[in-house]
Amino acid sequence: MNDRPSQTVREIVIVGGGTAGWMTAAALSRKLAGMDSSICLIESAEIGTVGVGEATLPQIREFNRMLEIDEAELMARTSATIKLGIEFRDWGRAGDHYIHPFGVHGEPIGPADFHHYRARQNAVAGAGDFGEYCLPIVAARQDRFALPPTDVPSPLQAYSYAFQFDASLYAAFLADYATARETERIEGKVVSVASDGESGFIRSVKLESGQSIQGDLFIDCSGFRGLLIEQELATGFDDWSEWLPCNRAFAVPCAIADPVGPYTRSTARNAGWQWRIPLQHRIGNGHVYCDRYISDEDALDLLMTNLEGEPIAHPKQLFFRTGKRRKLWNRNCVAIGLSGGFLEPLESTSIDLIQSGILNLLALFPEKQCAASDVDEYNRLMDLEYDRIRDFLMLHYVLNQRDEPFWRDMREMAWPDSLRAKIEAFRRRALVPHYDHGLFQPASWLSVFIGQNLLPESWDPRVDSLPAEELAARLQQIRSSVESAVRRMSGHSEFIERYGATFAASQAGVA
Amino acid sequence: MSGGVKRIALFGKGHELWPVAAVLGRSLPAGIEIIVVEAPGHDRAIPLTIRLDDPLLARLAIMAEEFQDMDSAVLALGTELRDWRGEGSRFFLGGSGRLPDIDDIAIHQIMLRAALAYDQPDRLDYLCQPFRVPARLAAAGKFAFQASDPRSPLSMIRPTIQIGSDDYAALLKRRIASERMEIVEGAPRAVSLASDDGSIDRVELDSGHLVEADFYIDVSGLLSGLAGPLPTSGWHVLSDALPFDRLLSVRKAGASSQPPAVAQAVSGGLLITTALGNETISQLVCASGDAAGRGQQWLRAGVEETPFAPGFARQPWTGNLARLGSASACFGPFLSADITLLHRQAVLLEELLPTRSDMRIEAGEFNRRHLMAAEHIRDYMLLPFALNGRDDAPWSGIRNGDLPDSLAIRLEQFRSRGRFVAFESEIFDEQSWIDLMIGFGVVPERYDPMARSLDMATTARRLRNLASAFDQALASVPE
Repeated sequence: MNDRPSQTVREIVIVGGGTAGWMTAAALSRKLAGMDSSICLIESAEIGTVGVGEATLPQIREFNRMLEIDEAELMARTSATIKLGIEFRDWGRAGDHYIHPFGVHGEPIGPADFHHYRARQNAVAGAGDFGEYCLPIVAARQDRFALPPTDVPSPLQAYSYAFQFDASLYAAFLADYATARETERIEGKVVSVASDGESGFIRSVKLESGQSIQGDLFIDCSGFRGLLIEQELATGFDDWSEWLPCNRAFAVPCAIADPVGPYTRSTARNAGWQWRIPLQHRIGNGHVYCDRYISDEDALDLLMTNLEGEPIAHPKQLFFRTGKRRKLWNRNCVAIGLSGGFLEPLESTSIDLIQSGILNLLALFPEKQCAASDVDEYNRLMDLEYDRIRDFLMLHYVLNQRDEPFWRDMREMAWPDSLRAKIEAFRRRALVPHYDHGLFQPASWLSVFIGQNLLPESWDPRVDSLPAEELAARLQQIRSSVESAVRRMSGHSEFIERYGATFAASQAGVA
Repeated sequence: MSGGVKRIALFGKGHELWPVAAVLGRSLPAGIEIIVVEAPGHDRAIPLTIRLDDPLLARLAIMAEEFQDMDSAVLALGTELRDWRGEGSRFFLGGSGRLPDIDDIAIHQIMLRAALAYDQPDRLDYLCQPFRVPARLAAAGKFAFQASDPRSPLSMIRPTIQIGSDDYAALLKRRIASERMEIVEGAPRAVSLASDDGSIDRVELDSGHLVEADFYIDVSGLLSGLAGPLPTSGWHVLSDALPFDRLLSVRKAGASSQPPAVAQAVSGGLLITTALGNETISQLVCASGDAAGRGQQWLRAGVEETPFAPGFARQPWTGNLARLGSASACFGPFLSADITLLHRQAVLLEELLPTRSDMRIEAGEFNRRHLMAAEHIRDYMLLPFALNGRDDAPWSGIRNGDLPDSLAIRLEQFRSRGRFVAFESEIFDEQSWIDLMIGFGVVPERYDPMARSLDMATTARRLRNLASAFDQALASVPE
């Protein structure tokens, strides 16, 4: 029997813990079970983790499902709240606000997409806030939640949800999961890397203790520094700071003052934006900014004066550069997480990019020699993912009507052609990007287009077949259906309690 | 809403014209007029094969029952490919949906593991056969409609209707709400272009009648020829991959005892025989100057000959003229690729009807999505040519020719590790691609390493159960 055993990847080494490292370890330990492969994760308690992304996207539920993780347990262990979307405040003009939801707006009225009908009504007689046609938006605004029905009676109720959690607790939760499935955790700092002179493949890493750890496949989860992918393999970095210039952040948690809503909030500031991510036991806050437009001192001051509760830790400053490695998979090393690239925390894509990296790795899991076709395909897929997310993130910045120099420059900079085409298509004809494989689907693009005051100049002429009175009645009916469905939901806090997902801070060692 | 497009003129003929007219007539608001200019004369019918789940049929709510009274209509499950891998070879190509996975591992990966484990890679094709539903039904001389229950193996099949183009045109013409559109007969004789942007101002017909519109649609090529040809760089030529330049057709009255559709590789070309309810039509694509070997001999009497230039426009919509159907592409009779593309274009055009004289946005989006569809069709059609196993001309040359990048990626990934690559807006089913590659002898060099996680004893039992469910489902279909 020939099962190519000599080509099997036997030893997988993950360098770096944190969210990326432990998500990778958990997924591999689950999917490679029974394959006679060992997984070893090296991390050092001395090296802090960035703790990227406390807010997630609905795709994380697929990831958790793949691991057969119980959602209520996960929420209880990570202080998670429900997330139905992201509220953007002051991004178009000061005073504006809208929610980018995890669900669609409206339901089919005729052959054209819903937003064309709403655009016509809006132009003729006004159609109310776009968010009123979207169940998760209305629910988020009323601080309500219910699990989406499994048998969806109407597209209106086809919404999803994500979590707002403590990323370090999520990593710890997954560490328990992975180590229970034979992932070996090694405490230590990598001090050197040994590579094969001919192939350039990494053969082993040496720890400060002198221990040498060999591997067939190395996953670099070492964070921004890219210990393997960059420091050893010199892969190169595509710098996107021209398009996404924010490069620093301050993060600080604070006590809960207002009710905890099931959504993340992003508020535009003079030279960046501020996040608010409510967990069960605290609120995560941060100020992302560009140091060319505001000093560190002023940026910190702006954050601290805009907290809604007492700070419960010292602010932590983060430095980053937006962009991605030229190859996220180089030789026998795959960069997952910040070692691969970083865009913006604006749309909670950091954890999702980790997830994409893992799923694509599983789909293209190699043999020892890491065939070029596997590597090329992985990089093609990840490049596509990064490019599309970049355009969507940029959309928030370029569609602003604010007066500050930062915002004016964002509006007037040279946009990528791919983004310009999308904006023009919506402006002129209400056309919305649609991908089979992309992260952000039409509902996401629509939210930002309309939320940031880009109204279409024309729409699908087929909507004009519907008499005006009938259109107005249908739209009103949809709003009423949404309201009625939301009224049947319970409060967000009640849901968490009833779901058995209440956070036990003492068990988690959290003050 | 800004005004602009109040009148649309549609030029064409027969089975290309009426699907587009039917779609537009169904959805346009009262404020937009349509004039349909039907070219005179009567072309002889050609066979069309249309999937019953085609988006245009869905758009027009045309059900299979509507075809059943038509003399030419025949229900089928796909096309038999004969002699492509060498004389005597057979492969049935039908729409095949997607097979269920076993613990997230595709069935062909499990079969590949089994075949490689016992050093019998050539058995992969054999091991996969129990799961090829359309091929098994066709081999048993059976037909079934697609089951609506996704758990049924019969949900995988994608039946087709084979119909004469004249019957199909008549069916769609009957669905036109005539009060919604003005229909005139005539051929365009001259075109007046605007001096500023080169858009079409008006069209003079051979009757002297003047047609003025804001937006022109050409599905025949007659109008496009007068308006000015597309630049050479805008035409994707397929003659390298498909070195044929003529199409010969011959008909035989009466129903056939042959399978409904056969595409046979012959020396010098490809012979396609389509059985309709009232006649059997054979079409040979070949190169002029070639003797076309056996194929030529088979088409002795009553041969109709037409030129054939395979390729497609990259940007069929320019200015205020959108080119559809044969005005924008020519794939030939294999797999009825031309009607497949036309239907996609018609549905797309309906979604992107322009609202004002500056149509660049709509045109750009139409061209982008047309190009994706045309490339998918090209790749699917070229795949068996690229994998043919014949030694004679032109087959061996085709096999050794360059492939489009997208097809090369698909083949490389499958050859390397049996992975199916899905691009945006796929037209053909995943399992059809996989079946075609395996059926044409592609044995991946290695299987997905994740397949190693399966316990093969348990998996074999589950596969037997699955195959048994397939057997029962197929047995339940009447002869």
